[in-house]
Amino acid sequence: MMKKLFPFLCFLGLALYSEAADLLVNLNPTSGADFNNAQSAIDAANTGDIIYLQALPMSTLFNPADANYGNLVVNKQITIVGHGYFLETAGLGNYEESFTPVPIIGIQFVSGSQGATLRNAIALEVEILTSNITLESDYINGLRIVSGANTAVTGCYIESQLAEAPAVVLESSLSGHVFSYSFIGYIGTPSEGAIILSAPNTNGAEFNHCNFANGNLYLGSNFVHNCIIFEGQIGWLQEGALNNNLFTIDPIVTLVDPLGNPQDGSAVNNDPTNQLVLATEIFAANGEGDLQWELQVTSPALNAGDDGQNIGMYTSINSYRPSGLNEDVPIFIELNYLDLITTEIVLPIDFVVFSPSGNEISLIQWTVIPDDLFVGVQDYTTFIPSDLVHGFLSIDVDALPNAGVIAINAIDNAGLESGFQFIPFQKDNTPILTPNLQSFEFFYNTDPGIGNGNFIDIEQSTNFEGAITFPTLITGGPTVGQNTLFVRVTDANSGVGTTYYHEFQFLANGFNPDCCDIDGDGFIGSSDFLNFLQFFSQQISGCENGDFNLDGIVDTGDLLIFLTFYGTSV
Amino acid sequence: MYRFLQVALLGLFVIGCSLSAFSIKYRVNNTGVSADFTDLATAVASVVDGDILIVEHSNTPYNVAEVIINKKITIYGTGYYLPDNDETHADTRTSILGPINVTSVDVLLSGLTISDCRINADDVILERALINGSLEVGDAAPVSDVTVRQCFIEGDIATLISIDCSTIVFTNNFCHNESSTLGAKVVEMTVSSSGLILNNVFFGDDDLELHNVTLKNNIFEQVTVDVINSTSITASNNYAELAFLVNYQASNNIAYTDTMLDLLSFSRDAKYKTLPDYTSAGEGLEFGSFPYVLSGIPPIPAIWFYDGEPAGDDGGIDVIIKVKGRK
Repeated sequence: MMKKLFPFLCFLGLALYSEAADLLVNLNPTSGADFNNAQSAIDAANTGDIIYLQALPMSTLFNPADANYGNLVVNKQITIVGHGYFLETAGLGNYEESFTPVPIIGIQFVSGSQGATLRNAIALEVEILTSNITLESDYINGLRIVSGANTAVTGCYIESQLAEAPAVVLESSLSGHVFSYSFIGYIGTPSEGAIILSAPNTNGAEFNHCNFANGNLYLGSNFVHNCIIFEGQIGWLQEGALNNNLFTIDPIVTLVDPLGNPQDGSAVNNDPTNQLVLATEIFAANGEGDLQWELQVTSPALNAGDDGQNIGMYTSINSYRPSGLNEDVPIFIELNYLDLITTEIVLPIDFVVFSPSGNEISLIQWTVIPDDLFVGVQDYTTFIPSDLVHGFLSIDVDALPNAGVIAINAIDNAGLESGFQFIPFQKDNTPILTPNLQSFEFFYNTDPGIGNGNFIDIEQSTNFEGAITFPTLITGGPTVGQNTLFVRVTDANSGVGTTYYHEFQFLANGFNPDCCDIDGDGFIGSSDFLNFLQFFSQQISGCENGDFNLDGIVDTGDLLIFLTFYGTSV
Repeated sequence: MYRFLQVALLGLFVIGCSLSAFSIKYRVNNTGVSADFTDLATAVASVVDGDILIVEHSNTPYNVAEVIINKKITIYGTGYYLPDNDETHADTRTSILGPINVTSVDVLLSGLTISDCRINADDVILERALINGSLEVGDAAPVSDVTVRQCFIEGDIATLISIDCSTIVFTNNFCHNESSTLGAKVVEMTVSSSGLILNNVFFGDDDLELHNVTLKNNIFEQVTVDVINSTSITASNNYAELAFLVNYQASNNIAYTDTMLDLLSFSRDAKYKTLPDYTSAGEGLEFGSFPYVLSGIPPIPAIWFYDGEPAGDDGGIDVIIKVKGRK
């Protein structure tokens, strides 16, 4: 699809797609992305391609709660890009986060993937079996470097969920692994004795400007400098070195070489610049997630590194960036739209875009991708340029097909473009059904429930006017005396109207209203009423004696019948 | 075996869909006659997702305290201003609700008279309602995809208060703030809201505070947009007063005149229909995808004339009846 679309976009000067080698993956099959399966995208990719694993907007019909990109095997030099993490705590204003980044369950870099990169992704398990792999700004639950050299880990948040499972395991005997501006820790409490780094077999790995938290480091012969070790101790320190680090508890090993010879190869060959300080003196403690490790303004970590920068992951240059938003490009943090379009305006799209670089978002652009066909139509876009914009886009429906996908992205005033967001749309072509009437539903006195009454069908039409005789000799029919008839009308679309009712006198079989004309003058009036009162309360039978309902007594039941015909001629 | 499983699973799926699509309709009537329920709160508490309540003609409100609509249900009423227009209902009493708060998604309210209506869930449709108090959207939680259409909203505070609602679709409504207080809003949105505002009639003082909206095909009578506090508005093809046109005249907005509405009509809502000489541009209540329905008659059939005999016998009971299908 992208290859067909590309010439249209170039022709129109809308460089929405900078490279044909960008492959989009989205689990929502109606998203318009190139793939709905991440491994399929990897299998189809060529060297140098970039695969974007898209988040799921909460407003789709898709439930993103349990969604994941599965287990992946990478055997090519490609870049895989996710959507960030911890977005709800990223300090992006008061807007509710509406995207759910989709995690990778496991990802394995095998032979052939040398030079590959995983960036901005959530990966529960990462396993590396080859050299020159870069992990950049990822959230990882467990990293295992089995073989290969020169793994570069920068800006990552590696957090073990289990005390018995180290966040980072270095098994490879090859050197050149560098961890920088990253967090390595255990999510639980320090008292659980977690091992957060296990590197007894590796030589020459470097940990620079990292934060370690809530567990112990089995360091081996590796080098740790400019790091904060929060509530952690050091074990298996062999030929390794600890320089310019801050500890919050006694690390057991001797921090300062008693011989005064830093890095001299002794068993405790540490630099005297290591310090033991209180945690409350280091961190600002004004956030959660990765923000909890930000430094307070009087922190001893400030500018205390051997390179003049802060000790720890938050530095002034190349710093760890919260939520993996280490790209400078704008990012959509909220996108709301209607799933089904019912107005002449095809789609009201509400968006919030954030620029991590602080650049001003200056342009929202969009195109329609209906089965490889580009359509340009009138739109209405409103927002106030800023580094955090809340805007609104609506698009005239006339020129659009019945269904398709809108691709939308944001551009800042430095020309940097966000990734694409894909919005499926569908016009509501459901015809408004002609409300053909179907039947009268009726019952007496007690409602048996809608649909359970008696029915009289009528000719299907939008109108009915006429006289209806509702049968009385039915199950549940009226008894002699006062009753209530209930009537409601139904249509062929399962519609049921409100229920009408009126009270009436149900007369005994054979009753003749002439009985009420007691004086025989052809009119039922006051003189008849006076005559009727003479019979009242008497146990006598017969219509002619005022027993209109023929129950053997003249009472109020008969009076109601009399009043029904009062004032009429017979 | 695999084929059999496929067929069996398909069958179960179809059965499941059929069950989920099955809804039960219930009557709510507080006039003393036989009905399923006599008050709204009990009715809502008793039904399940997918059910339909039909609130019937009465002079007595069906609730006094606020009722929370926390299920995916549909509630139909009778419509309003029934004596004002022809062939509405034989019984001109209406279905009157006190305050309600919609907290469930996928709720449809149609043809009701409501004092105060709060909508605090996504994908809610409020249509053909007479609101004579306030209408607030997203006051308890951010919501999106709320549709308010074909309503007659006239009260002492802003007719629509959108606290935090993105992509609200507000179409074919009459809106009038009756307050005489200087600075009273007809529509009041907060900056976190957005939406479409199409084919409405905004009537009377003072103004609308809007944010992130497309404003099209509306009629503004003695009312304009608060351009100081509003942000991000695209306004086109509106009939409006001069104060509005000063800011938006360049976008096909046209000067309003009282002669374009049928203001002398007896009917309380028909008077805001656009007269034929002004209908070519498509502005006003009776255009767009959901034209205003006089008296807010909901899309269920209605008996508009009923004359039953006072007595019946074994031969039956005679009724002269006139009925219309509605959509």
